[in-house]
Amino acid sequence: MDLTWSRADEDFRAGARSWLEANVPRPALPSGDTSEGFARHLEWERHLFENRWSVVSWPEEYGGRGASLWQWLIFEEEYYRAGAPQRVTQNGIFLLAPTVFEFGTPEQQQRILPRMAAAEDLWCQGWSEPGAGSDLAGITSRAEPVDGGWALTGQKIWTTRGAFCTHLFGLFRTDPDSTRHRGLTYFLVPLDAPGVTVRGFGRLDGDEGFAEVFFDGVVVAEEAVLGGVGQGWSVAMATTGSERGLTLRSPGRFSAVVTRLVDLARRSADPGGHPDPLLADQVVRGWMEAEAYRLFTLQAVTALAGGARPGAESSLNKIWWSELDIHLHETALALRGDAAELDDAWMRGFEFSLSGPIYAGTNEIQRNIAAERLLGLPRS
Amino acid sequence: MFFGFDEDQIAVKEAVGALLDKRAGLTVLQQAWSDPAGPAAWAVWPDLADMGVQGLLAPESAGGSDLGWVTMTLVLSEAGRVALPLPLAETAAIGVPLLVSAGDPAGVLGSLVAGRAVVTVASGIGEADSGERPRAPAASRADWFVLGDRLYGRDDVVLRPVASVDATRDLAEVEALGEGLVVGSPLEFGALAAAAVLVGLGRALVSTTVDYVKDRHQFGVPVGSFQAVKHQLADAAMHVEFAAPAVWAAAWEMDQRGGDVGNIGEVARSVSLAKALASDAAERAARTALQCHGAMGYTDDYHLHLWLKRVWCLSPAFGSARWHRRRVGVDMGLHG
Ligand SMILES: Cc1cc2nc3c(=O)[nH]c(=O)nc-3n(C[C@H](O)[C@H](O)[C@H](O)COP(=O)(O)OP(=O)(O)OC[C@H]3O[C@@H](n4cnc5c(N)ncnc54)[C@H](O)[C@@H]3O)c2cc1C
Repeated sequence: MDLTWSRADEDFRAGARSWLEANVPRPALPSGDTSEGFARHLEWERHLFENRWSVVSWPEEYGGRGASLWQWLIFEEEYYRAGAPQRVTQNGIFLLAPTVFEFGTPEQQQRILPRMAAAEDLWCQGWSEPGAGSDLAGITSRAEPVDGGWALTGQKIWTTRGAFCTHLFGLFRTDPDSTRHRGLTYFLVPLDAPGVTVRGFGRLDGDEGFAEVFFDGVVVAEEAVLGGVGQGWSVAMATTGSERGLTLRSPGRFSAVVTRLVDLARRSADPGGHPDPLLADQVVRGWMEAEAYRLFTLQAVTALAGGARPGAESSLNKIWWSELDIHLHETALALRGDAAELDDAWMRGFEFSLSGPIYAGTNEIQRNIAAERLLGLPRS
Repeated sequence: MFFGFDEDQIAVKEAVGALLDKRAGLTVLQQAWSDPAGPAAWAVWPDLADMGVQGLLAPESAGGSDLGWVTMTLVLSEAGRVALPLPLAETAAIGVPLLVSAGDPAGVLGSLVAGRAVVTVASGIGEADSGERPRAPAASRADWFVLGDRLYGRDDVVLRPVASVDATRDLAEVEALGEGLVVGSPLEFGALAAAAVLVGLGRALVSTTVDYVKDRHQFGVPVGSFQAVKHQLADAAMHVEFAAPAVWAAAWEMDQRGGDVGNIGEVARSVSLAKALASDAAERAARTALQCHGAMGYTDDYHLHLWLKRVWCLSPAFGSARWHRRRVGVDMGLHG
């Protein structure tokens, strides 16, 4: 066991920190879930790319730095510590990209990854449908073979930032006689193709962060298939594994919220000069749970670095960070007293935290997975 | 950065685990419940010493191996797994390192390492009624008593047996007669050691309960197929598995300080993190285990209660979760 960072990792951290300190926009950008805010975020994403900070862990040929998983964690820590903007490109670079690296043809990798890194192509995730949320295998959107490719028909919903993105990755049924997990195929679809209609709508906070995407005989080429016709389910599971596991929600994100929370608690003193002791206890609990997440992640990355494949523990991970996020924001609002109602960063953070147990597979589904695959309990 | 165990650490853990399974299994634990100071309960003590367990934190000059806290906490989690009814934490993880750093003033280190003498410790934290006397486990068999920051011989204390909810504890109130020898505070060592045992207890509670609910059928199906049961167990497992790395990390930090009590304040936050998470996780695992066993868990005819009661003893020992959160909160400037 060695919980110290190497010289090279410390240098990497110092480089990231000084660049971020000099470059993070002040004041903070408006929400990236509105069209105006999204445009500002794109400028930031392109600035990150030009300085090779947009995809640090990717190979240099695609615009990365070939950074190790450890350095990726360090970068994330520094990124959130610096109060840098939310990553509106995250669904592409953190969810689709690992799947393209694993399942994509060399042609697809060349075509997709550099433009994704540069925030030229903006990807959204098209899993859910009106009739298929938790039960993803129940999707009915379909793809029919046509000359030189496929025609897509159906509807996706809850597509994050769908109204601002240029491309969608998602599952479609290619075998009309199939049911459930079989006969599905993973497609990569340009949203400017004829027959695509995108309608943005508001999330809980009122921003247009959601979209419905309609496909009406949208024709795509053979090369739009990622990982083989009929292989969609297993390819998609690789993406959702990334989402629950490491890449979507790194520990640095929560450590940064804890720092702000401790600051808030220090400023929320009663006349005696200290916050309500019960709330102080909740603040420390939040710090502890964030630390536990950081340490659990270091343990998981050690295993991955040693060649292990991410497994069902990613379900526990997802429950932990999503509940932690709610706890931190609930505590902050409690410290804020009647100022809690203001539509400010804490309230917005609280609203978003409440979606954590819903997206990326609800926490109930994660508990089913953990109970069945980690503990070996029988299926219901 | 490497947050894992090396081969030696895993080998020691597995060897001790195998020894405990063989020589300190359920029958022995049940015998300890009725006779905690008796020969059956204590039979494994010299075997542990032969394996070097009491000397894990002692230098080679005292017959120890100096393997350190990471190995020590792995071994203690094994002791927790089998709910070992002996003061292994008190002797090997508190008494030994305190004496090492104090320069072994009583000249007893060698006998502790060899398994010929036993140390017990009064945790002495969080008394609601400050008039109460400190209490220590394994009182009938202990040769040395740590009270506050001092060490007393058996002849320098008066013992009054008191009932613990866990009869294997062999608990007594301890009153010191003489001055004793200053050896330093047992708090950091005790809290970390208890956290390690609690992780082992918590893991055992989850795994025995998983086995039980797979086996127990109601409505024609295993009760473990019901989501209400599954979800509680998934949560319990999660909390235990997120506490464990905090224990290993605090142990690693302790090793970096060379067990030097003078510097121990620096690791206090990590120790508090480990103890608070482990206490809460083990209590949750205990609640879940009992609920998922139904009435079978609510009888002292069945062995589950032995693990539950040990959790109830160790969760508050050397500072409850709340106590440790408060300590960190004070350090963060959040409390007066
Ligand atoms: C902020 C946010 C962003 C999102 N972004 C995207 C996106 O970009 N792309 C995309 O495709 N989707 C996205 N989603 C949708 C998300 O994937 C779904 O919300 C999720 O899969 C749950 O489906 P559902 O909402 O239909 O809930 P339902 O499946 O209808 O579930 C309703 C309730 O029933 C429970 N339940 C359902 N099945 C079970 C079961 N087997 N056992 C126990 N309980 C069960 C659920 O846990 C939940 O509490 C997003 C959602 C949110 C909130």
